[in-house]
Amino acid sequence: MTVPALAASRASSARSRRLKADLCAWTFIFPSFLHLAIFTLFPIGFAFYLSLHKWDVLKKAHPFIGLQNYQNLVHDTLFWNALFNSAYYAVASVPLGMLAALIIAILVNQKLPFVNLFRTLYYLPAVSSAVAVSMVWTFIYLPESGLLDWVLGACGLRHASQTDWLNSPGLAMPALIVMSVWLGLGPRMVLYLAGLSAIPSSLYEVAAVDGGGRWACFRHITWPLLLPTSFFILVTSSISAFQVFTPVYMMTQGGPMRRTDVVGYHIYNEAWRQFHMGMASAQSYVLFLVILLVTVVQFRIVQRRMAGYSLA
Amino acid sequence: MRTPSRSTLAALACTLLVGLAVGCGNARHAAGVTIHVSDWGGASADPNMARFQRTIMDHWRHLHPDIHIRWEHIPGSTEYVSKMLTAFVAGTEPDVMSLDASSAAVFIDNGCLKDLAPLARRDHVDLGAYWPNVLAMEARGRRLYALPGDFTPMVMFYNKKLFQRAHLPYPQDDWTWADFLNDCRALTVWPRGALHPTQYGFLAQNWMPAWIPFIWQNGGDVLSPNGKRAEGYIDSPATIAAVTFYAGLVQQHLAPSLSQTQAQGADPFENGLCAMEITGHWSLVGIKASDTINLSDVGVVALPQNVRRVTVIYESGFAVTAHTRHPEAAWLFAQYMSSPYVQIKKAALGIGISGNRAVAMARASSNPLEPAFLRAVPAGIAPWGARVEDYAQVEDIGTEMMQDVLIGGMSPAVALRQAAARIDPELNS
Repeated sequence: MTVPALAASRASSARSRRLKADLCAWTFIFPSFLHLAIFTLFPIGFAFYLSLHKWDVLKKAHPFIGLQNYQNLVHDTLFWNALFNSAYYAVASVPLGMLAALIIAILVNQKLPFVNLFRTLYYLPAVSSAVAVSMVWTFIYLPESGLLDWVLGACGLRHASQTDWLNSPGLAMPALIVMSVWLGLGPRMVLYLAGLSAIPSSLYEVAAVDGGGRWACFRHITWPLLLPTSFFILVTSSISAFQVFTPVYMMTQGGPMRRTDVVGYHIYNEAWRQFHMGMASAQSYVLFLVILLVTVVQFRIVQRRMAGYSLA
Repeated sequence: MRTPSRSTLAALACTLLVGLAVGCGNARHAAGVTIHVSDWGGASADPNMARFQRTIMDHWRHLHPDIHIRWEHIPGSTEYVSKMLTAFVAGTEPDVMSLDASSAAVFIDNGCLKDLAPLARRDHVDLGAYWPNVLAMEARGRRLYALPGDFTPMVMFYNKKLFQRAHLPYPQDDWTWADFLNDCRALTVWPRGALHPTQYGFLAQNWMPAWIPFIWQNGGDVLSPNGKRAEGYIDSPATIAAVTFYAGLVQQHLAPSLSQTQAQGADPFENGLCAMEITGHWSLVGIKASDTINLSDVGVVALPQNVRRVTVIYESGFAVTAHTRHPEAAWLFAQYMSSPYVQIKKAALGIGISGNRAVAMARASSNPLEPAFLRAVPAGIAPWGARVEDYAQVEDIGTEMMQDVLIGGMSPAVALRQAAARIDPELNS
């Protein structure tokens, strides 16, 4: 065999092996891709298609109305109320949840007896059903006979012990936020624990030699090195907060007086109580854009801060 | 990277194919037809219901061994409607479905159901055996979309012991709003120095089916007779007065706050916290199983009347879906579920009153509480949901309206005017 023929044969054989390898890889990827295409990519595209139509579930005619659903949203005060409620929930629940998780993570990161028991206890909400948890918190918040009012009454707070937490327009959302902080504690705590364990102890030893106190260590070592973890928690928690549904569905049904009618619940009602799929899809896309905007802003701000830190 | 052998690829392909075959497989019966039946609730949650279903299915298999039944229970009445509508859109609807009067219009008006009147005529089904106002709920003129199963008028349950303790006579069917209010006052116990009453006269719920009869009793309504308009009806003086009366029960502390009432898992009537409650026949099931109240301590009476005597009737029937592939088998099953044999067994569960008059009368003769329900039937009218497709939205807005009044402190006149302004665009969109 001549040298060029031998080279050509080797190249062909290599191509064949590569093709086989690619085929094998695609065969393994295909089921996942198929799942992704059917249950994620297609619904995303179809939801946009729906949003351009007046699409009621049982009506045979689904006329194309262009951007009419989006235009109607501009004047839909109930949707803006829901968006405001979602923003209120996110702005309050995310920082509070992060702060609580950070404190708990620092506490359970100490070398103390029974620390694993405490870690497990704090993680429990994460493995509990959100529906069951919502039911329990509904009982906690019951007026007169609820646990919270009972405790307040036992503490001598006579007026507070009659508080109708979930049916009070000013208190229903804070009540949901407090519950969400507890519910989200476990996963956030675990992330912070992972971040804390990645910080080299030598840094603290050096700081101690230099006379740095606990607060100085936290401010100049712990917090800066936890920034990537905090950023991850901030972004994922914000996205989850804008999509909150289960506690609202279980505990307040958007009430009282629409004070807890968050976007996720509002979209559910539009789609499955009123069967306005076109409008519900348009609302979903607006929610997507809001979450995208919030995430981009978070990336910009935090990246700038992290860059500032690295220069320092 | 090491390339896999042909045998590995072949094994992988086989695994995928087997998986697809199992996933998409349809366990069809070898012979006969299988009809799919849907209803709400889960039989497994109630052993008596599960026993009832096993009994009737054994009997059905004996009668029709070639028609197999696949029964799907869908929990939650609201989710039931959503899921069924989705099934109709997807073309995966059952052959026979339970049809609730409160949501019948959405299925009837959208052509989901088969007109059973020609089949009933052909098979000489005696439609006169059913309560006329119950049968009428599933009809549109001469068309009939379901055979009645069971039903209940909304009535007042009262706790006899609490009435005795207050030295009050039991209410009678001809009692009025004034009598009801006096009883509520006499039955509310608020010890001196206590933060709240320890016993309330009435269990007020922000559940529209419980309070819409007050509007009707006062000569008002929420929609125009053709169901197309709310303005001029839901904000009429008669409706405003009825809502003011109902809300006043909570505002005067004769009924507990909404949160206390909404608390799930603890029924304030069964617990003896409230002396009276508006509900239907189904509540007898819970009371029978309750540890806190005896069935013999419960009395049933018609709703108190004002301008006229009226209540609402909730009914469930058996409908055959319009595009079923087995219309004859489905029709047979709907007839079977509505037959005296099944109705007698179902009535024994206590969930409802049989739509078959003879069965209901027979049961009433042996059960002391039944006659009170039957006496309320002539004054019963269909819920708006049996007539108006979009009524679920009206109920949602009505619930929010009551929240505005009871929680927000809004005047009923303003709240009802705002509700009318929201309902009309929904009904005409």
